This record gives sequence, C-alpha cells and structure tokens, in this order.
Amino acid sequence: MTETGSKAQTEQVTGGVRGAEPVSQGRLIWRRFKHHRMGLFGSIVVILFYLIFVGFAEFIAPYHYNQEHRDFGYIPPMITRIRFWDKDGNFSFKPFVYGLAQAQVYLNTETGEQTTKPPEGDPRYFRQPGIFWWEEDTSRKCYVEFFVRGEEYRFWDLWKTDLHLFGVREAGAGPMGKAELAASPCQLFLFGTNKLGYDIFSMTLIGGKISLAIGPLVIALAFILGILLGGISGYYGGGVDTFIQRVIEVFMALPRLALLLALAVILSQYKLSGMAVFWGIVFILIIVSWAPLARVVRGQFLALREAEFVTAARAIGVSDLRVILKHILPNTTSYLVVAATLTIPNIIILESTLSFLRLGIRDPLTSWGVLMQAGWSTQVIQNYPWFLIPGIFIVLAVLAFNFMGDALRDAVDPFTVTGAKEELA
Amino acid sequence: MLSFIIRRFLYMIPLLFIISIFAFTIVKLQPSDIVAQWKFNPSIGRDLLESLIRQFDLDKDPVTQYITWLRNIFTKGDLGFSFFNKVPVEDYLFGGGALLYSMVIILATMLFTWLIAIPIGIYSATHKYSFNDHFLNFMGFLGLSIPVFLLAIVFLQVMVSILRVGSWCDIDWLRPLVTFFRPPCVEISPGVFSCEGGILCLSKAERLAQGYYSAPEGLAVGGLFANEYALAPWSWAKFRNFLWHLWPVVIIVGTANIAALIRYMRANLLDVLGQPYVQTARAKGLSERVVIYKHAVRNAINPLVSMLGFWIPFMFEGMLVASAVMNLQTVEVNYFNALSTQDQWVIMGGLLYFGVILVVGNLISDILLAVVDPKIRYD
Repeated sequence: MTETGSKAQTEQVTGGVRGAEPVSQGRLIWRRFKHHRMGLFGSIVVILFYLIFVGFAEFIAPYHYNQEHRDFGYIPPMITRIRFWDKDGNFSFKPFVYGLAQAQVYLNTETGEQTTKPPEGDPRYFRQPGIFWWEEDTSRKCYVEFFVRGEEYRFWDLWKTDLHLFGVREAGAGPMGKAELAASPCQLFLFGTNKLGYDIFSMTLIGGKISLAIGPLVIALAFILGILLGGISGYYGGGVDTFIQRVIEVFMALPRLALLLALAVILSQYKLSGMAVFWGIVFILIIVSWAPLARVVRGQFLALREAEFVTAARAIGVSDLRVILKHILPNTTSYLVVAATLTIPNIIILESTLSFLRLGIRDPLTSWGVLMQAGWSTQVIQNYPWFLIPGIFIVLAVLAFNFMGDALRDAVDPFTVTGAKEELA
Repeated sequence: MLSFIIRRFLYMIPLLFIISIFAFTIVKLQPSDIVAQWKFNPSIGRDLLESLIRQFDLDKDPVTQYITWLRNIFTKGDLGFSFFNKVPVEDYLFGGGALLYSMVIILATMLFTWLIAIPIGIYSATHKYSFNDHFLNFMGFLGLSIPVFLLAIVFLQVMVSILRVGSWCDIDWLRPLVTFFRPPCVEISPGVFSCEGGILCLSKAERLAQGYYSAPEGLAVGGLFANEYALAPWSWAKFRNFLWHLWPVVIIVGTANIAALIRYMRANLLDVLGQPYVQTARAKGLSERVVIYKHAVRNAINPLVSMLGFWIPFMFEGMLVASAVMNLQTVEVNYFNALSTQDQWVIMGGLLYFGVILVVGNLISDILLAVVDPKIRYD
C-alpha cells in the first residue's frame, strides 16, 4: 500500500511526465555547470594543480627544492632538450637528454658577436674569462628513468625518502652514490637553474604547494569567522545586526593592500621562523578577507530566516544553534562555495604579491611569489628569462579558478546568469 | 543636492576616525620600542629626539600618544616625523612632486581604462557569442588573472630584451621617436655637443665616424624620468620624457581594471538591451545606432559610475605594487620604502592616506552617481 502511495506521489510531483525523475538541487547545478566548457576545463586544471602541487610536489620534483648545485649555475631550461632521436638519427623509446658541458665564450671585438667555437687562429676573438655557456655534450646520453633514488626529502613532512618520480641516469654507467650523482654531468633541470644551481622546476613545484594551499585555507578559516558573525547578524537581526554590519563595513572600507603590507611588516618583526611565518601570513590574509564573505553569509541568512522550514523548525523547539547549523547553513552552501571559489584567486594573488615584495613567505619556505623575486631586476631577466617561468603558473592557477568560479556562479544561480537573461532579450 | 553632499561628507568622518585607530594600533603592535632604539642610535641628535618625545608625548601611554597624534594632524597638519629620513612625514610622503605624480598617474589610468573598456564592452555586448566576443571575454579573464607585479616584470622584460628600447638610436626609423622623448644633444661647435638631459642619438655609421664606439643609452624603462631629468625643473623636454615613462605604468596599472570594466559593461548593456523600453525603441523604427547609443549605453554606464568608489582604491593597490617594482617617485613607493625601514609615523601617515583615498573615492562616486542618474534620491 505504501509503495503505490509513494509512486502516486512521485507522479504528482513530476506532473505525471513519464521518464522525468525528481532532480536534486545538486544535480541541477551540475547539469548547468557541465555545459560551461571553460568552467569545466578550469575545474579540471584546478584539480590537476592540487594533485600535482599540493599532493605530490616533493615526489614529482627530481631534486630537493632547497638544494644548491654550485657546479650547475644558470643552466637554461632543458625541457626543450629532451629527445627521442640522437644526433645520428637513431630512435629510442626512452627519452633522453645529452650531458651538460661548460663551454668557454669568445668575443669578436669587431662585431660584438659571442661564440664558443671561434675559428682557429683568428686574432679578433678574445677569451672572456669567467663567462661560460652550457652546451650539450653529445658523447653522453642521459636517459630519463622513472622511480629513481635521488636527493633526500621529507614526504608530506612525515617520513624521509629519496624516491623521485623521475630523474636521469647516464647510459652504461653503473650504480652511483649521492656525491657522484650530484657531480655527474647528467642532470635534468627542466626549467633551468638559478645562480647557485637551485632547480627551478623543483622550486616551482614546492612553491606551488604553499601558493595553492593558502587560498582554501584562508577561505575556510575566514568562513568560520564569517558564518559566525554573518550568521548571527542575519539570523537575529535588530541591534546585533546593525552593529555587526557596521563592523563589516569598516573592515571593507580599509585599504586592503596597504594594510596587508603594514601587517606583514609588523609580523616580520616577531622573528618567526619556518611554518610559523606561513600561519602568520594566513592570519593577516584572514583579517583583510573575511568581511566580504561575512556579508554574503549575512545576506543568505537574512533571506532564509523567514522561510517556512525555519519557522517550522523553530516551532518544534529546535535550538537557535541547530537551526543555524542544520537548517539554514546547508541551504546556503552553494552560494558560499561560489563566493569561496571567486575569492581564492584573489588570495593567491595577494599572497604572491606579498611574497614577491619580500614581506610574505620567507626562506626556508618558498612560494611562487618568492620565486618571482629573482625577476625583479632587468639585468637578470635580460640574461636569464627562464627565472620568470613560475609566474606562468600563478597566472594559470588564478585563471583556472576564475573560470571555475564564473561557471559555478552561473550554475548555482540561473537567474543572474547572463545567458538566461540574454535568452529573454 | 548640497545637503546630500554634506551628509555624505559628514559620514566620512567616523570612518576616517576608525581608520586612524587601525593605523595607530597596527604600528603600536610592533614588539620593539622604537623610541628606545633611537635613543641608542647616534644618527639622530639628542635634542631632536627630546623635542620629538615632548612634541608627540612619546613617553606617555598609547591613548595619549594617539590623541596627540590626531591633535597635531588637525591643528597643524603635522603627520609626525620620519625618523629614518629626518624630515616631517608630509614632506617625505608627498614631497618632491610625489603626490602630483600619483594623482597624474591615477587620472591618466582612469581615462585610459574607460576609453578602452567602454567601447570594447559595447562591441562585446552587441556582438554576443561571436568569435570576437569569446576572444575578448578570454582576454578579460587573462587580464584579471595576471598579478600587477608579474605584469610589470614581463613588461620590463619585453621592453628591454625584446623591443630593445635602449638601442633604438641604431635603428633609423625609430630615431625620431628617441629624439622626441629624449631630446638630442645640441651641437654648439663642430664636434662639441652640449647634453643637458639629451642624448647623442646618431646613426651607427655617423657615430662610428665621429669616434663614439659605445652605443648611446637610448630610452630607458622604469622610474618616471630619465636620470638627467630627475632633478631638472619642469620644461617641455622633461614633460615629453615623462610621457615616455608614463605609458607603461598606465598600461600596467590599468590592465586589470580594463578587464573588469569590460565584463561589467558587457553584462550591464546586455541587461539593458533586454528591457522593454529598448524593444519599444526598436519597434518605433529607430536605427540600431540610436537604440544602442542613446537608449541603452547611457543607462548601462550608470552602474559603472557607482563602482568608481571601488575602482579607485583598486587602482591605488595596483599602483602601490607597480611603483615598488618600477621605482616610480610616487606616494606609494615612499610608503613602501618606509615599510622596510619600519618608520612608524610614515606607516601611520601612509595608511591614513590610503584611507582618505578610499573614502574620497566613495564620496566622488556617490556624488557622480547622483549627478548622472536622476533616479537616485538625495534624502
């Protein structure tokens, strides 16, 4: 009896249309979201980035990010030097790079031309002491191997290991010790190295960890504050609401970046080290970013507080806290997720700006902003443009988040979607 | 209208007051006692320090210090003293034309962003879903996603190593450009040149013939002037040089704004184009040009004006970063340098400056909105 009853009910709800199942809010959002191609693409990039940079950065990095290789300074990116065919045209399934060789630079004083191979006995060419170029030593083949032992690191800061996803080994060479590996001309610096031979690829991976982790972390903590204050404000209304609204207004009216820089300077005077710096930065980022989120929460609570289901919950004597957390909050989730996704790129930009200006993340930690410091002088970027590679990842991450947030907003709230409006036009 | 402006003006006061409390509290949060440090620093005279302590009540409790600080601002316009540079804060922050340059850059940027973004936004909305619309939309996202500091670095990189602006003297067709922005040296007698702020911009052959082997330094990037003009009095030549240094700054500070403005303009215009009165205008047989520019665009711009209060602080944020990277002689860079020397009164004054900018930006946008949109009620 109950079965037929529920069936009839379903039919009633769906208006008796055959094949139409009742669809949850989540499914509706997903349906709209998946039609947004750029948004979908953005979300895939975001997920990939978090897997690569936050999940397995140390493992993927072929070197320890904070390890110098003084013999290999200023090596240009080798990512374009990975080959399948050798100089004789022989194909190998295993990709390889040639060994690194330092070549003395000669200057033609008449034309200003620089070369490593001056014509024999030409008096116009002068040796440039101390200036070397990196060339490929075609006599050495270094094959890319997977799951190799290399420099030691702490995986997720939990256990020590020296297993790396990939690395290069010289063809025909036997097993090598740590010191031999470090001195071998067989090296794989995908994005090149800086002055002291730090591997920029590894630094980019580890730097991304902090740059990407800080966004969701700040948002999550700011939301706790925002839900608390915005929730109380929207739920109770009246004098409390007015007061909290004024506080939010004041925080929104503060000069964001100038304040952030001042706070960072004060923070830097507290002689913090290691992860304490990271948490300090998280804290000051929360100070400048919680207010708009609290306002979103308040708006949602204000709208839902008069809803029938809230009145019903109150009527059966549910406590305020339970109403807020169990009845109102779940209904605002989609809006909060959108607000979060649209705020995260701002946090990423703020963090990298702060770190770039030497007021944020500090050694021994690193982030994309820290890595960009090397590009501050034109002298450097003129000669070593590959120092700017980490910047590409900042832009990619922010772009992906922006696309994702845009699509989510359209999916969650179909009535403010430009597309829906345009259909009316 | 006047009472509306006065009321908005009065509303500013408590906000500025709270911002000043914030500024003071933040600086006082630093763990070390600045005055104690300066007592042991021989670079500042005993007498000067004593008089400063007396003048600003530095030996009293924080509340008294705060009140004295505010009183000095109101009664004497005195923001304090820069310990590090040994000048009053207002001279350090705003002196040397810094305030003027800041305002000129902001005005130029605003003009530039609106001139570029509004037409593009209109084009995007009237050609919606076309290839160009999608392309512009993507470029807009890209512009929003590039941090200002990165844009500044990349811009410098492009100018220096790809466009090679420093060696334009050797390229025949670019030489007039160099001589326009950096006037050439005057030949007083054969072979003798007088170079006041100018450069010897000869062609390569001429240069070698005259015995100058090293290439002349052509156009530079970064800063607001070439070195020779930095301290020179204003002249037509200095102004031209200023223009050369201005345009990259305007583009760098403006890009994110342009991107955001295009998106808002497009959305607003699409919104307005869906309104019944636009349909009516079309039904009357008005030409599409009249419908769009007379009926739709005017109404679509209003919301943008109301966001001016948001754009202005946003631009100042961009300029703070751009100034630091490109070393422009603006108020922002003075503030930034004071941060690294932990010059407490300058930091306080700087925060107050940014607060005033923000509040005044809001005021201007409210007034402008009341002017352009007759639907806004003043009371």
